Amino acid sequence: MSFETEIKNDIAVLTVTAGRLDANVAPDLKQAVSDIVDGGISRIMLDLKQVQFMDSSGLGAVISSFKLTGQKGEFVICNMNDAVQEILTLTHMDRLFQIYPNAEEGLQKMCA
Amino acid sequence: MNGTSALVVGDDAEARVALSRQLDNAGYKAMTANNGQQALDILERAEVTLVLCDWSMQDMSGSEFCSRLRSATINRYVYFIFLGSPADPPVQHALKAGADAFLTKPIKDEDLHIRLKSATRILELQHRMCARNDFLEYAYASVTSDLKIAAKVQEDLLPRQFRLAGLDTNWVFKPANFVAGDMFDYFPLADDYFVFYILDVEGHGIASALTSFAINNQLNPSTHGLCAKTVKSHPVIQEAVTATVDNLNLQFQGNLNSSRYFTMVYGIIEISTGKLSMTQAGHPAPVHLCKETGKAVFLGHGGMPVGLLDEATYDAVDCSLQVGDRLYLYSDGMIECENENGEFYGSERLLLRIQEWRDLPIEELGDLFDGEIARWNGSENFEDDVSMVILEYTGKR
Repeated sequence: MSFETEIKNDIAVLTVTAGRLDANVAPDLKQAVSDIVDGGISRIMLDLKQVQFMDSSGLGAVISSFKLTGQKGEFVICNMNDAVQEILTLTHMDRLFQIYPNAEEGLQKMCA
Repeated sequence: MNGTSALVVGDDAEARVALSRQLDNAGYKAMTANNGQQALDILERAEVTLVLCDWSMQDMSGSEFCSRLRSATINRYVYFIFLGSPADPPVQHALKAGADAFLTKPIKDEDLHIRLKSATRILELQHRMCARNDFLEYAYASVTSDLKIAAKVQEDLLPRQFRLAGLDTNWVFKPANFVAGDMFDYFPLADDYFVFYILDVEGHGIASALTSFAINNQLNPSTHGLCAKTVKSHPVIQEAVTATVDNLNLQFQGNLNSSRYFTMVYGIIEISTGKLSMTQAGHPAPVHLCKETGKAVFLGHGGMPVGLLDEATYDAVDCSLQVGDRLYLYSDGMIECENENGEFYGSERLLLRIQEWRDLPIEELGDLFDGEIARWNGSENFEDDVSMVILEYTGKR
């Protein structure tokens, strides 16, 4: 499994444990987010601290995840490296969701 | 197994005859050989799948014959039973030599039947496996041949290289898997426009290629195509380029579970003035090489991919081309191509190379970049589709 989920308050912290968020991992990410949302949690933090590289399929999965959390939900990302940040900037996806430098800061802001 | 050919090998003629009779009674078609070489000759000619061989033979030992048979290129499996006396080396030696079983002489009918049954099981299994393998090979060949035809169809859709009204052109196109999710085209439109685009559908392979075909079909150069329609309804080229991408974005919205989308650069050049306007929708930034200064720079500030969000809006990036200036469009498969050390080719390296090759004629650049990226990749098998379009503004001719 390429993910670990930890529930903190009403927030699911989903950590990608694969080094590459690509076509091999993308369907599993969508499934993992779908399972969390089906379980009744719609605030999700995606932790990318272990992800070195994300390709177009990985980006597609991230956007699908964002859509899955819906209008009432919340989808944030933390711990992006420069390469991932570059893709989100190029595609203007960094304007779509909140990005935090690390999980602690993100959780603090989300719980405030 | 009725009618299966069995070969009895051994020095002792009487024993051969006796065993042949036992095999005949069991429904086999028995043949005999009095030494290893003769047996190998028979095995080459006849469809024998069962061998019963004496462990001790004078000319060629049983174990040598067995290992020669195992290393011979025979298109079927041969079940091999050694026949020996209790004084002969133990079963393990026989199995090590490549045999499947060992029978102790004198051979009782009951023991022989048990061995033959086991041989039948193995041979039938082998036969079924071969048949399945043949089918898979046939299916694979048929799929591959279809894909080769599809690849040719896609290649035929690509624009011709070199001289067009107002621009010289060249390109590189290397699908990762026969057909690509990458696609590009360029063509003159109306009296004074030159339209160009490059797109990359998420993923690669057949599904991506089919989507790229569909988009390409929308953007065809005919008067009914989207390019002509938006130019007609938007006389300002900045508006025509954003309207085209807006339109595609709405048309290609997938459902919630689908994340198939594409990135693209879509642009128009006014041939008489060199005025360029383009939209960069999540696609790597095009490079503008200025003829006068020899400097190459990235154009654009990114933009949302197409088909991901229906509320996405697109901007136009403008630039003024002088005669001799070049524009490079390329897919992420180019800059994300990894060498054997896992290092990306990268946009900075690309920029330097574009500058370094600024004085070479555009006719040579397609092959040069093709070779460059193949060398970086280490082979012609790419992880992702690689494409590049090079345009050189020549002004009105």
